This record gives sequence, C-alpha cells and structure tokens, in this order.
Amino acid sequence: MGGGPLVKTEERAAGVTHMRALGTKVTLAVDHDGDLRVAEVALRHELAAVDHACSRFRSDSEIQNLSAMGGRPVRVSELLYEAVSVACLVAERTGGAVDPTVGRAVAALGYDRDFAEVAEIGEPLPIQPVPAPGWWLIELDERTRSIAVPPGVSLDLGASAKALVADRAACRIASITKSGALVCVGGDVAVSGPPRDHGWPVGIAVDSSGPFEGGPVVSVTAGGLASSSTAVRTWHRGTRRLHHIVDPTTGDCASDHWRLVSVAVVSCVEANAFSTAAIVWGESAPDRLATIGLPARLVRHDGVVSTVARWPSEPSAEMGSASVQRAGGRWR
Amino acid sequence: MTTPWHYAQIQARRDETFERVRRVFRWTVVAALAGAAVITGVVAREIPGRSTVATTSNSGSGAPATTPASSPATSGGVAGGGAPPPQVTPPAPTQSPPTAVSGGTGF
Repeated sequence: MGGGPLVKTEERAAGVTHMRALGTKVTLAVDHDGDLRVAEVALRHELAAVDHACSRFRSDSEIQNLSAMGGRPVRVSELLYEAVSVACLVAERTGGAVDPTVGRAVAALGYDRDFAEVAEIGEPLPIQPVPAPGWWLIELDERTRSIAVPPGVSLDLGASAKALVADRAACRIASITKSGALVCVGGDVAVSGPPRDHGWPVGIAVDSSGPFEGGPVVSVTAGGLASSSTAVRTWHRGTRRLHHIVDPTTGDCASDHWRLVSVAVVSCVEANAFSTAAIVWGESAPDRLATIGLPARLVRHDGVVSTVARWPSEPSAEMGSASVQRAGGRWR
Repeated sequence: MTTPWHYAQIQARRDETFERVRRVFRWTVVAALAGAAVITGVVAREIPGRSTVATTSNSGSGAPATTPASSPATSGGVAGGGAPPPQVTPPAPTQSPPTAVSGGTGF
C-alpha cells in the first residue's frame, strides 16, 4: 500500500488519496483536506485488521485457522466474528445467492491465491464444480464469540469483507473528523458523516481500478454504492472463460447475463450483497431488485442498460443501446 | 328454626369466604406467571442457542429457515431478518468529475 497525492476536487476543498490494499485499489476522500492524514491512518488500520482477520490467501489469517480446526469452535476476534456474522446475514437476505461457504468452489475454479498470481491461461479444470455446502452450517456463538466451521468447509468472505471494511472505515473516519467521508474499496463505496451539498460524485465503470474513461456519474449523499462485474477478474482454463462470482448452488461461475450491476442502498455491505446476488440471479435480477425496491443499474453484455427503482434513468444507454426502466416495488 | 336473619348471616359469611378464595386464587396466578417469566429469562440467558426465524426471501437453494443466533453489530451491515431495508436517498445524476469509481473489483 502506498499513499497518493492530495487532489483537490473542483467543487470543494476535499482531500482525496488512493492506495492499494486487499489486492485492489482503495480511495479515501474527506470533506476537508486537513483531515486527510488522520483519516488515512484510521483507514489503514481498518484495512490491515480486515486483511489479518479475513484473507483466505494469508497462511497466518484468522479465517485460515478457523477452517483448519475441523469443526471445533474457535474464539475469534470481534472483527472476524462481525465479518462472518455479516456474511451469514447477507446469505440469508439474498436467499443463499451470496454464500460465504463457496471457498472450496472458488479455489476449485482456479482462484486459489491472490488474484495477481492466478495464471491468466491454464489447462482445463481437472474436477467438476463443487456446490457450496451452505452458510447455515456455520455455528456462531455470540456469548463466547466463537465460530465453528464444519470439516471440509472453506469460507470466502470476498463478497462482503471489502464492503464491510468500507462501511467501518467511513463510519470511523466520519466519527473522528466530524465531517463527511467516502471510502471506496475495490469499487465498493461507503459514504458517512454529514452529507455534502451535492453529495460525492461516483463514476460507474466496469473496472474500478483503472482511470475513469467516461460513463455515468452519480452523486451519493449517504450509505453505500457497490458494483459487481463478470468482465473483470477473469481467467481461462482450457476453452472456458471464468470469472470470480460463483453461484453457490452449482459451485460454478455465475451466469454471464450481466456485465455490470450497481446497487445503491443504506450500507455498502448491503449494496455489495445485492449487486453480487443480481449477477447470480441472472435474467430475473431486475424484477427481484424492483420487488425489494433497491435502486440499481444493470448492464447486459450486449450493452443494454436496465435501471431499477429510483436509479436515475439514462436517456441514451451505454454503448448506444436501449435503456429499460423498471418501477420500484414494495418490500415483501 | 332458622330465621331470615340467620340466612343473611350465613350468606354474608359465605360471600366473605368466596372473596377470600378469589383473592388467594388471584395471587396464586400472579405468582405463577411471574415465576414462569423469571425461569424463562434465566434459561434463555444461560442456554443460548440458534434461533429459528422465517426468512423473507425465497432461496430455492434448500437453505433451512435458520439464521445464526447473533445479529452483527456492524457500523454498516445489513438489515436483519425480514425488516425492509431502510430507505436512503437514491443516487442522482451529476456532471461533476468523479471522486471515486464504483465497478468490478479489478487489480
């Protein structure tokens, strides 16, 4: 990780810096650039703590130790307990579409190390996909703050840990500085603190790590905005193109129906949960998101854009294709 | 020979006895309910376990309607159980240059 230069935005004297952590790009913005240094310290502390607790690629991480205990309950840190609890709640809320027990399935697809070290091209997969055993097998005991993971079950908190650290860090920074803060971890954005006059401008792009090269920009005043894409973090095994979003029911890569799904809701964890779930739900995602009433933008591989609930509709859709607007529904 | 005065006296004594029995009965019920509440509280605290709650979503994945007993006390997190997600101001279009980019997780 390395700190970046301060950048003044055009609207207001905000402080912005970029760094690398958790194998991806992290952006921090605060309302007043004088707060940037203390905010960066708080962010780095949160990132390091989550990496130590939740990384499935670090041999010394807490979660690796947990999976190796053969089903025995293990007392864990408050952070890991929170991360696993949140992951289980995400699984429940998404009807199992986003499940933390996909660890073995993801590894079986070839994503078994830090993504930078995953070979882009390789031999065909030697084994069939492994369905996720199911998040309900995880035993949580709040009283002793212990977790038991059955033998053979490997946890992957990739779908929720980055969003969780964004939420935690934004909240902590806003609390320390008493002003607005934005934290973006790998494209998952959390905003906390007193709202800015016109919100934080956030660009929507397939790949969050590169420079923004045009596309919709929306302002976010509070909560979270997260996107999931099947077009990044891809690799090839034999003739198959694979990506990192796994359907827990099959253990295989989720449908390629959507190229990019963005969801805005009250927290980054929830936004990430439903943007990932939408990829897994495939064609039915707009209707499901509309039923819940979550503002969302979905881009198909052929470029057709659908917007859901109160996400601003786009007069001309991305790549010149048509745009579809679905009305929001009531939560049932 | 029993006079009407006697009847009145017997009736008054009977009513008084009934009233005493009713009072005892009421206190017995109150005590029983309070005892049950205390015992339930103690058991719930000393023997925590998994709670079963109905899920709101149709998983289609065979997941049982159980959830980890604890709710996460997260700064962000997700709304628990079947609660509707709290409303947040939806994103609005803007012409400003972006401070951050939301997209797929690249390098």
